[in-house]
Amino acid sequence: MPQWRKLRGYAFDPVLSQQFETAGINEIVFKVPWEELDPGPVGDYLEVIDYDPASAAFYEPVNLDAASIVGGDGLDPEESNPQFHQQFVYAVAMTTIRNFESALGRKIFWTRRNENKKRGQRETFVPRLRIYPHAFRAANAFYSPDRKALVFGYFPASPNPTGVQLPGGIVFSCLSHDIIAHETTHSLLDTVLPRYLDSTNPDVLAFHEAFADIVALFQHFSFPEVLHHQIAKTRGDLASQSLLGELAQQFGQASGLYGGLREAIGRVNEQGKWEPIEPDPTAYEKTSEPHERGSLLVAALFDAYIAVYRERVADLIRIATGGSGILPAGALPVDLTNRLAREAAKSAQHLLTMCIRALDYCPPVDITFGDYLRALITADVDLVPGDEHHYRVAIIEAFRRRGLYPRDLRTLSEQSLHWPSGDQLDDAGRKAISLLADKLRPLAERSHYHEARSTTFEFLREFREEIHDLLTPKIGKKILGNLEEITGLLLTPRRKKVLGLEISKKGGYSFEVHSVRPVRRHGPGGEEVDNIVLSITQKRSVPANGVWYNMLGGCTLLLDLDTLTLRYAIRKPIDDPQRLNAFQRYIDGDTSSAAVGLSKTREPIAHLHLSASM
Amino acid sequence: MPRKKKKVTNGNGGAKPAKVRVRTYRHGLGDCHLLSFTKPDGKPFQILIDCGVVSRTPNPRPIMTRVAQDIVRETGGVVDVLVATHQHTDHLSGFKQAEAEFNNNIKMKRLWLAWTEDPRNPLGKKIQSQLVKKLAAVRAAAEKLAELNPKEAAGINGVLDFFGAAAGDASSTQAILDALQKRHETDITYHNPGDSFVLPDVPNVRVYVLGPPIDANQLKHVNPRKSQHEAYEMPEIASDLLGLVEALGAEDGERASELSYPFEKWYRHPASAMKRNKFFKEHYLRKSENWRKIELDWLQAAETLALALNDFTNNTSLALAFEFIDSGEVLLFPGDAQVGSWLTWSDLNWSVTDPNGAARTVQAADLFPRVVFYKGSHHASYNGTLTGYEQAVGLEDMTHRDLVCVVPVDREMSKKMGWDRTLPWAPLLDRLKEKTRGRLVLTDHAEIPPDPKTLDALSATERDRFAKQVVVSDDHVDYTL
Repeated sequence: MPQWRKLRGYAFDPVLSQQFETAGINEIVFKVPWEELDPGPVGDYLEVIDYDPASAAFYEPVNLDAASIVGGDGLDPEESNPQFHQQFVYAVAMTTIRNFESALGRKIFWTRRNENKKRGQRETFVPRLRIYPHAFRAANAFYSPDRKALVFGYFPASPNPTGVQLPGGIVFSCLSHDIIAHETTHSLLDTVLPRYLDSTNPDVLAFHEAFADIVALFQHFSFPEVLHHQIAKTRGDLASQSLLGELAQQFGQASGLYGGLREAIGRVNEQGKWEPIEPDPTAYEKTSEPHERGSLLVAALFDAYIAVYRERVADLIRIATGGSGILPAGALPVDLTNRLAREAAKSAQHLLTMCIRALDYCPPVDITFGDYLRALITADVDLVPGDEHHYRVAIIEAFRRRGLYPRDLRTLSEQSLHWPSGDQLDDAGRKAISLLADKLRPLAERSHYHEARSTTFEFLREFREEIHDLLTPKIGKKILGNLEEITGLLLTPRRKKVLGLEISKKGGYSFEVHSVRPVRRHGPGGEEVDNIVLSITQKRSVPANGVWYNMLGGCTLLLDLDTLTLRYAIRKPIDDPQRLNAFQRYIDGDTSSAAVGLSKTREPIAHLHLSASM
Repeated sequence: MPRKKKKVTNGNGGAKPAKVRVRTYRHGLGDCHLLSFTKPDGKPFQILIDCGVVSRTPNPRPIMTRVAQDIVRETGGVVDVLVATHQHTDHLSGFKQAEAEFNNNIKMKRLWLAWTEDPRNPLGKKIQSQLVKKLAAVRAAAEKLAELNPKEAAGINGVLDFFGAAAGDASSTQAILDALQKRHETDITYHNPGDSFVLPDVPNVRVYVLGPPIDANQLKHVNPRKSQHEAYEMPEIASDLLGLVEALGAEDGERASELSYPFEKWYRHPASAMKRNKFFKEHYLRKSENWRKIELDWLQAAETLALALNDFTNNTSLALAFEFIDSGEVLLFPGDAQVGSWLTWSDLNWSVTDPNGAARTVQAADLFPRVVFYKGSHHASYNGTLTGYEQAVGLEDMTHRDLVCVVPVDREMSKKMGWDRTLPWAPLLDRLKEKTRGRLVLTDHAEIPPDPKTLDALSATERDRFAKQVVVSDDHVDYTL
């Protein structure tokens, strides 16, 4: 069996490909891991179902395993052929999934489905994310958490013949690499951190949006072919921001994404030249709208990317210019263009991996951009202790310049941003952790087997139940007090009633063992990181504005199974009065749900997208 | 229950005749204001601004008839000017529901409308025809949704309520406006933003027209940092949903044209043939997969369209400011103007001639600090009152010490319609309360009007004045100046 399946697709949105300038270079080949596919395509992770209710029509599913299609590296990129659309969404979504799996060091499971059966709730395994490439007629696309599906719309281009689109022609959101990657990322983020759909502070939904943008953008930049053209075009100014920034903005214009990026990183001035904008360190305090706030995070990471790229090509530029930094007249040597494109693509791939990997170092609920910065730094230090290309410095600097940092730290050094290490526990704490970690050892063993994803899912579910039992007063009596201190959760019922916390049938306060994730990763120096990530969450109902809302608390525990020790406890304590206060203030002034008449939708992501596109 | 007071006194303690009395009716979620200015001869000049209530109000006829009867009583059957701000039921329904009173007992000398209603204005006409077509599509979507799953249609129907019945029906907002325009005794004026003129027969009052904004070009000046949905897309209302409109066959009731389909005919298999297709039978139609279906999503996009039309119509509100030339005090009646309209006001330049013959230019920034009475726009929704930032004018610019704000709300009704969080929007009410130093009057009966004695932010003289100036009875709020 071949290792890869090659599928041709668009390097740029078809919207851009209709421009003469980019027409010749608009095809790239996506390499996705080989799997046997049914028509659809329907594979192990995805099922593409091409039903178009607005046209009262369905389209025949493509059979990517057909010899004629395999032989031709997939169907020709062709806007007018629905089967190519099916192939394209599959290729891009699989590429995104693969990026997640390799960064996280484990298989992905879609969020489980909670079915309300007669005999109580039941969790079921959802093997495949469903993709509807032509679900409705509107300029929108979204991830539906309820249906575990990506739905894409299509719409007539603006009737004003101003842009590059054919006026009145049809624009398909499912033909944009960036939109597909963006929506797939929403669903992947939801599998890792499902509580991030609960808007408990102004950063949470903004993070969902921004993270989806970041993955789409860096993934797009990780194809050297995409960069070639731009590098050859802006030959004079290879290390500058305009080279990559302008491209990012072009992507934004074509896909309607990265809205804020356009204003946050640069603009075309009156002479028609692109120029960067100085970041505003007070912007974070001033912005509350999720998209505008999210764009600050995207812009910060993009700045970091540019800094890294610049550092990586500095020597190349010196070599190519004899040390002067000034290039001779004429076209660039092809070798140089190739090398520069490769460095830009490699930088993008590295940052992409860093951004995804950091998810395991995030709190399970209520994230802020400051938390994410700490997760990024900690995850990277763990894996790459020596920071040869100064990625971390670049990231800290970029976040600082946009005012995105935790407000409760004295300095912004790498050391203080690093989550506090678990070494500092007292003896009783260590004992409690080692008891817990010991329980988890069989899981690490098992995680090295190759099994069907459904089998692993079932196994993990049983494991979560076991951990849940361990944390109840009956069984875990001896360690609960210590664990409460470590995690900031409330497990043993207090004599005095704690407002809004329920007591479960097992006698303790209700909580959820959110996920148990075995992680084995290899750093660039061959070092191995073998951890278990355990997320536990809790909710309590608290009043705000006369209505009851769920305040969330929780903890991500990173445990080292070789030494049975705690690496980190990333906490959002449930009974922290400051958190409670901030939550109530946020609910009071929240405008995100204040749009008149927008019905309480079951599609949170669609809602978010709409408010931007309307 | 509010305190009951039968007799209306004026804010000057009867020493001088009042310059104006603004009566705001407390009939439900809707607007109806009667402004009685005093002419030099001491007789009143009556301006009626809107008369309507949301369609979900139970038994609206007697309610609106009572309002109309009060108008007859107060005006003696002659309204000097009727202002119909925009085409929403909560501003117009009364003219139909109480048509006996309005047709038989009230003479309307003048009718003021926004330029968007002017049949001779090509852009206005285009807007109206687009509205009709797109509303028809939304209605078709709501009907289909109601057939498939009634629960899902609730959102759209809630928005549609504001437009009343379908076009063609005699109780539609369009029909009501048409009927008003056909009254033979009435003189019609269509107003443009930037217009200003002295009120006929009341030489001390000048009227400024703020909205609706006149054309799309003006909008390009709109602060680009604001997200797009606040902008005012005049010629193309939600054009990305045109495909949906076509799919719903609203184009003159015909079937969608071949070009509106995304793919050529030979790719399209009719949905009805799905049950004979192996792939779809297995992956889409299977019962265990029902939870993942997408039958309704395309129709739900119509809710976006409905909301866009709704906001759009609010922005077509005729927004007026009345200025007392001698004292400079201003009364602001924005209709239901939303942010998109507000943002354009700071670009307006009114040319006025002072009583001494000198000509000068007035801008919104000159008017706002002199506002003493603000009729809360759009029932104090979150995007109905601009705070004011950079060059745009808004609530923060209303800095007059005597500022009083009256907002027509009905929170019980809002709750019924599922909008209790947003209409009115609590943070806006808080800010209005601060800006008026407590002199915020909400019209619903759940509200106990502010007791002047408890308003600590006011001086003793101000408290005394407010007590005389604002009088709340069961049926209305009277403000006098």
